[in-house]
Amino acid sequence: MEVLLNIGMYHYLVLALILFCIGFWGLIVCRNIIKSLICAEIMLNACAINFIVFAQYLDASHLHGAVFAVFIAVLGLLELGLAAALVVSIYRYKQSTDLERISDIRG
Amino acid sequence: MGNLVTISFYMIAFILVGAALCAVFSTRIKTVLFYTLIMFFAFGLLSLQLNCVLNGAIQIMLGCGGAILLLGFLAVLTPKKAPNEVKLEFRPRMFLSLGAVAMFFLTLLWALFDNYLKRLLDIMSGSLVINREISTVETISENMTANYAIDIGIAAIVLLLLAVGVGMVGIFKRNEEKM
Repeated sequence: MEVLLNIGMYHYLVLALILFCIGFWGLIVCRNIIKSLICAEIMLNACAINFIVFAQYLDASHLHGAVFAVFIAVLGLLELGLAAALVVSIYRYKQSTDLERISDIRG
Repeated sequence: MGNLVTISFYMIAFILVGAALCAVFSTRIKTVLFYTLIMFFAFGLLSLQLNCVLNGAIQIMLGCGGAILLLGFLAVLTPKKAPNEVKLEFRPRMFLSLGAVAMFFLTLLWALFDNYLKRLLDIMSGSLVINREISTVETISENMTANYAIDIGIAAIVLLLLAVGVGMVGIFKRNEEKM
């Protein structure tokens, strides 16, 4: 009980692990491209939590992990923007967002 | 004080995991986006709890931007209906979630305008003890404002919890019916 009540590094790591597993599982199972993107975002954010937690508990300056977390957030944002444009163009071309139906890429 | 940190951690963890599960399991794209927004807010809160203010602010801004995007998305993709066909129906999930988000923003605005954001962050990260004792006449309004902001923040998190819980129950029930 004491372990559950005193929040420490391992609690955050377990939370990040659970989120990463949910994202990974969704990425494998979901065939919809938008849901796959959301799952990738969940995985990225789980990694960001790890960075922040390690910076908070193991880094004296608390800075490096925060910088990486911001970098990951910006990366995720760019990925979402690019993917949204791709989804729109694929939907116009295929009339579907099913990943199984996207088998050819032409320049 | 440790109790407040513990409770807020478990609340945020429940919101995060619940919203992630809801986003993965839900079948409608609007629901997926909606729970993704809640997830961004929860990520922001978790970052704030870990003293990573910049990332927390970015995540919350992402949530706000996503909310605006979602509104646009709904406006574009929702089929147009004649005014007499539009039905007003009570949706508890949507009501609870919107209420929670509105209250969360109210708390943030209140904290910002009253210069209590730092105190709110300190309380969330566990480095400040809430002082509910009012000693002098001058501090009455100050203490009351801070305490109300904290109370509303906690109420917003509880509402978010309720919204995610109701959403999870609804989605699993729907899945059961399908099976």
